[in-house]
Amino acid sequence: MPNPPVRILLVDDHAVVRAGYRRFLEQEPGYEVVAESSSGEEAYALLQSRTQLPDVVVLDLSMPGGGGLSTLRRMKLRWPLLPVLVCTMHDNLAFALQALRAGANGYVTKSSDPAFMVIAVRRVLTGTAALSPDIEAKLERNAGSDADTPTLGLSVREFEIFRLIAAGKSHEEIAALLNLSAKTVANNHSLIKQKLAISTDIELFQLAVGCGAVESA
Amino acid sequence: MYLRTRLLLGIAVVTLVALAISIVVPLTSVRDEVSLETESSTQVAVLMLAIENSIDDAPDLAAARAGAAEKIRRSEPLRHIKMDLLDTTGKVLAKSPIDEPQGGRLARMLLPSETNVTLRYELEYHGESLGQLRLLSNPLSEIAEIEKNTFRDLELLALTIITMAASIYVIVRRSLRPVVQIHAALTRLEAGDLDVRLPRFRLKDLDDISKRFNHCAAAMQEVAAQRRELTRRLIDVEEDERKRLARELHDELGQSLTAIKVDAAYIAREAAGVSPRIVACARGVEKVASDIVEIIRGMLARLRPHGLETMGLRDTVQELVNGWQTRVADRFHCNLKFAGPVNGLPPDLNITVYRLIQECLTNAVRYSRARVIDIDVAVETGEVGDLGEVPQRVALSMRESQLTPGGPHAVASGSGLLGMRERVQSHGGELRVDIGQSGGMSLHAWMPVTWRHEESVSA
Repeated sequence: MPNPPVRILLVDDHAVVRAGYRRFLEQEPGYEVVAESSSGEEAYALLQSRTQLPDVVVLDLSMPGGGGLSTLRRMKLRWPLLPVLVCTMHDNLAFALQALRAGANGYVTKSSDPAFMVIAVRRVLTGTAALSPDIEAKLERNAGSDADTPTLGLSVREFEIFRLIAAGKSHEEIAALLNLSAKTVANNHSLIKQKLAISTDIELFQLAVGCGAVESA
Repeated sequence: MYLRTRLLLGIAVVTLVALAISIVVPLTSVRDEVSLETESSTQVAVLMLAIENSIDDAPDLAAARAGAAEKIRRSEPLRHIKMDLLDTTGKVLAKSPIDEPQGGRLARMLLPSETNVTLRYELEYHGESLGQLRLLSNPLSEIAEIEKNTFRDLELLALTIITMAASIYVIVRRSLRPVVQIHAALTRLEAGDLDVRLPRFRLKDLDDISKRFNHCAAAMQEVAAQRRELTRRLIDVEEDERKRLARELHDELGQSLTAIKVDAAYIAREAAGVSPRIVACARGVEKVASDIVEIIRGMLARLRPHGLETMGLRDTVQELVNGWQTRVADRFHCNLKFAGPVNGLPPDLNITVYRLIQECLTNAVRYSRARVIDIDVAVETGEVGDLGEVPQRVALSMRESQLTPGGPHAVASGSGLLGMRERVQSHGGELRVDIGQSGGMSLHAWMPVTWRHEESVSA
């Protein structure tokens, strides 16, 4: 069946890696790399200048200038519905968790099979989380000791709202960003507080800072 | 003044005073004795003269006799002599009062058996015999007097010796008081307290020692500081080099390998259904690239905890412990606890804490017989000037417990641990390793948090 093309923004500081991924992804029918950036800042500026957003961003987190995570946070704060797939050399779980809390929709290590990249892009597009098998395995092993990451108990939608509330957005702003009604956002807000066993927005903010979902002021 | 001069002078003065006392005291008593002795000789003469006079003046014989007797009875006690009045028949009419001395044992022992020397003197009343005056020597009193003097001299001597000894003790003690201070200072220096200093002393030679001691301690302190600084620089250089290597491995090699892998995967898919041999070859390239990536990842993990800057100490250490834990789950369980703002430490302390835990775990895997290992990382905060509440001290402790029976612990001498101590000391901290009764090791390290501005944090 004829699908609309999947338009990809590729962000990686290595031209040779970008070229490889471009070739490899475009090998998949319907996949098209519409733009490339060599840094997070450049990518952010690029997204801002475009009238039409890409369908997915493939983002390397460890790039010169650092702050891959903060670029990710900024992107997800500005365009919460834009799927971002993190593709990185870092294979430690803590780093992956931080990326996910910062809003990444998927996390793929460069050491995993390149074929998984294609699968991950597809999953992210359909709104399911995509973790490369090595990270998945680590997450399972670590499942028991996740007492300090209560945010993982939230659904993807709830976590998005949680992050945006912590970032100081109003219900109306969040509703507009996520294509929801303000009422749904308000309902989710109280549900999140209930799930996290907190009563005030200040606690919510502290929790979000503590788990790296937002940066402290 | 020198110590020896002071001691010599002190002792000489005390000895001279003692000598003077032991000469002056007997001398003064000799004068009294001589006057007493002369007095007593005149006393006998005076008494006899008085008796003669009373006899001459008496109206008759009986009155003369009674007068003489009365004179004798009423006389003062005579020294060393007893005087009796006998009538013509030899009957004692009167005795002079005797000052009978309390003769001691010594006196009785020395008393000769035939002692009394008797002197008789005929008394007459106008040519008619009235009786006899009998004079008896009394050696007991003489001996008693000598005895008394001897004891007095002995007492004086003993008193002088005791006073002399006490004075010398006080003088020596006071003069040597700085020696006690020097001893205490040396003990502290030996224990590693390089801040210890001695005060100035009045005695020249001791003051010289004090000055030299202070000089040595200051020199040692400077050397220690230099060594700490050197170690610190060495560690910094090592860490910088590791960081650079890690970055190159990660950024250059790692990325190039990723590109090779992706390209190989591309070739494999492109050739699928066209040339199985090319597919196999491309898969081979991909496999080799993946293997090298694995090797590099191992090297990176040893070289540099990636993400220490981005993820913070807490998560990085947790990841490190989790990594080890999965590898040695059958041997021991590791409990990791954090307290305080663990992520608020400066970069150089972060890396030291990380390396300490890494070394502890490496050691534990090699040597430990413990079933449980507890690791605590605590950051204490305090008010600092206008900075407000900031981390001031970081403490790390590791304890082994529930040991399986076996040989002794072979870890305390590990060179890795020695390196750790140097590292901790370079931050001005301390590291202590104890082996418990059960053979379990416990390690405690603490370091003050200092913020170095000259250090480039960005690198």
